Amino acid sequence: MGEPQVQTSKSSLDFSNEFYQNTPNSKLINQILKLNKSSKNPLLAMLYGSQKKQSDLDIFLIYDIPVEKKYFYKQL
Amino acid sequence: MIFLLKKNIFINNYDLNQIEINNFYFKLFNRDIEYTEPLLTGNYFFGDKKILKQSKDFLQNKNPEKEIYDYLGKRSIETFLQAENFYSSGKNDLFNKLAISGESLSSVKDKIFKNNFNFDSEIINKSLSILTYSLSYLASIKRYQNGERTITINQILNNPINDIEKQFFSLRDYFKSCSKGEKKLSFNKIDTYFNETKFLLRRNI
Repeated sequence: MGEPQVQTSKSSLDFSNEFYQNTPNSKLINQILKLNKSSKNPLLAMLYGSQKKQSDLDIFLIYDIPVEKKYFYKQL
Repeated sequence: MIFLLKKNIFINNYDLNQIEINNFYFKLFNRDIEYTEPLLTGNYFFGDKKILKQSKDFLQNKNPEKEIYDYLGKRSIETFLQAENFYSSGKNDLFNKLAISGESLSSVKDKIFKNNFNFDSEIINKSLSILTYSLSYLASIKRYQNGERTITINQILNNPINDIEKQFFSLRDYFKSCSKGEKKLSFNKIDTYFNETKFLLRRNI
């Protein structure tokens, strides 16, 4: 059985639901959320980079709340 | 009060790269490799799969617009300047360490201004990492102009097709080896990488 389809709106994801709590990654997800000190959950998270042991774990996160723009960006 | 998330968080072996969704769509439209790389090479972790699917569909099925070359060119210059800043900070940090450790003026002078000093520096490694971004933006312009729709770091590393990509390959190999402690940094080598990258930027943008 594949992963359940996650129905989301842009506003928030419910991380208390069964999908997030039962996934093997739920512990890591909770750690990330604590690291970020944000009450808002990401819309999407991707793992990338080498993902080797002893390497840092690269995680790409998209939010619908303001994120600092360090670099060149479109003036909205 | 508006809560502003940091763009990057690096803690406990987690390297978080974060973006607000409208800014993400802007970066996606411009095929910014910092953001296309996780989408094209990463593994879904959690969240809305629709965003991932739509984003990948866009990259794989739409031709790049011509205006992205302006964006990517500016990003390659911007990251070059950021790399220079980090390099300068790293040299200052190194000087401070040498001076504080009680080295003689003559020794400090030789180490900072002569090219045979080998050393480790996390800040200068970071500057070289950023310099690879400058080259990757430049490389991606050329590849998009040649009709490619999706570009990943591994595609460039596995088959460097021009001077820009060969420089990217060499620089990445150098700074990765230095980061792992397999090689030492040297001003001579670093200055050469900066000069060659500046030459490539001037010639190709």
